[in-house]
Amino acid sequence: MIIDPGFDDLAMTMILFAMVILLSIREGLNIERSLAIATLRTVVQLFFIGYVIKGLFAVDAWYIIVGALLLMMTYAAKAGLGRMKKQVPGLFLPMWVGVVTGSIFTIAVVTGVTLKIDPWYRPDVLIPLGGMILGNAMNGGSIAADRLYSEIRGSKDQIETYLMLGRDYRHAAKEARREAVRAALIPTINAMMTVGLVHLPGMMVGQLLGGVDPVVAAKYQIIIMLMVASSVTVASSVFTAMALKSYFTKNQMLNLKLLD
Amino acid sequence: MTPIIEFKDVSFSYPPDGMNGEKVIFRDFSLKVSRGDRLIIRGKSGCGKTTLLRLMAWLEEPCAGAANCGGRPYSTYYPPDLRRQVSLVSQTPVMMDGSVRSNMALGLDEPVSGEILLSWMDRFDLDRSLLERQAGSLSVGQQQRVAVIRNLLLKPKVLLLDEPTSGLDQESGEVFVTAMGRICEEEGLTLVWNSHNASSLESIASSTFSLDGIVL
Repeated sequence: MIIDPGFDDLAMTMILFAMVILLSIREGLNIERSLAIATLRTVVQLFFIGYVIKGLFAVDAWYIIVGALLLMMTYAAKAGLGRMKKQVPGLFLPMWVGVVTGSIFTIAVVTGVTLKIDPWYRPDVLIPLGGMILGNAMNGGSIAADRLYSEIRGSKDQIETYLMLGRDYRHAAKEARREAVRAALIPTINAMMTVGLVHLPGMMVGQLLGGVDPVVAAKYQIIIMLMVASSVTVASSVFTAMALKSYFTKNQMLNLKLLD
Repeated sequence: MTPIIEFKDVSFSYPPDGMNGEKVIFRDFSLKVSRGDRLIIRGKSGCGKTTLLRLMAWLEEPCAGAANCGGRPYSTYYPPDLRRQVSLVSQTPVMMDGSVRSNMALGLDEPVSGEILLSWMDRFDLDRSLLERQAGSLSVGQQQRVAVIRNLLLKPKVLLLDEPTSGLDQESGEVFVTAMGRICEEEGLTLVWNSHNASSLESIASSTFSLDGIVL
């Protein structure tokens, strides 16, 4: 049975907020202000998206659902790059293509083959799954982007050695690319190793609280974990394959100015 | 005869498109390297010798002027193809993880027989037992010779060496110079050799070129 907390019940969770603020003051953490802003943003953003999704669930037009997903993916690509420690020009398109292919490929397989939803654009499935998957694709792309930069920067001499030996830029930087994809996947692999043992993922908790049978919730969680692994791998592979070019000039010289 | 490499009125500054504070390294610089030349580039350290070799290997782009290889502008080549023909060995040898054998084969698409590698090692006075050793465990001098062999296996038309004997003691340096002289004769190789100590290379030099005074 679903327990639907009323707004007054929800307000009671502010007890937790008050406790954190008190602790922050007592311990001199000096984070009251950012905590208050973060809490306010959490409330506003989640209510906003709750009502948006409620509206989308009622939509029966595939192009609106696909449009909403593409919009979310575009924002994710921008946000993923925004987190890079060093901004490198020319990476938006690779990140966008990475996030979009990683998400769409994964969602298509799961909704078409595993869940067999009908119609194929069922918003109550596509929107939540899409949101979760593209978030992970974005995280994967973001880690890959940072790692690709640091790997190329740290192996300039090796890359130039390959170039001097007449190798093309893809061959010269393939080890850096491999490390970037590997780094993007590590958090996912770690999560897959410990899921259910050390922590219950948010979605599974949500389903259990929503009254879903625990075994059904587990099945969904298995699907989700594999979707995350797939979207991160595809997104980071596509991103790094396209992003490599940004680190080289048109005549396949390492763009040393970017790496200073 | 068409020079194998020709630079005409080449200018280069770093950073290449720097607006402010750029350092001009070459201005209207011209140079011809003929086939079979063994050209020694000399000059004080920091005078642009390494940059010149990097420009020749097309690892840097001139800001102005023309760079030709075999009479064709560099820009008409696919860069990896040009770099196989005009092959640069950097001053500090870079070895990848793996054996000497795998490092020597880095630029090759086809597997190469151990006999060929060993014969090259003999020519550079490298002990044959080193072939299966981790390349990173070799001395700098040995690594430098492995790096040169690695480039020679590509059968370049021009070999560019950037201070290759700087990590060697005098005796090893002399062995290296002699080996290179012999290889140039046998393979018909064109050689451009950077050195701040050109006198040690008199035995193999066909011409020398000083960058001192030319460079701004």
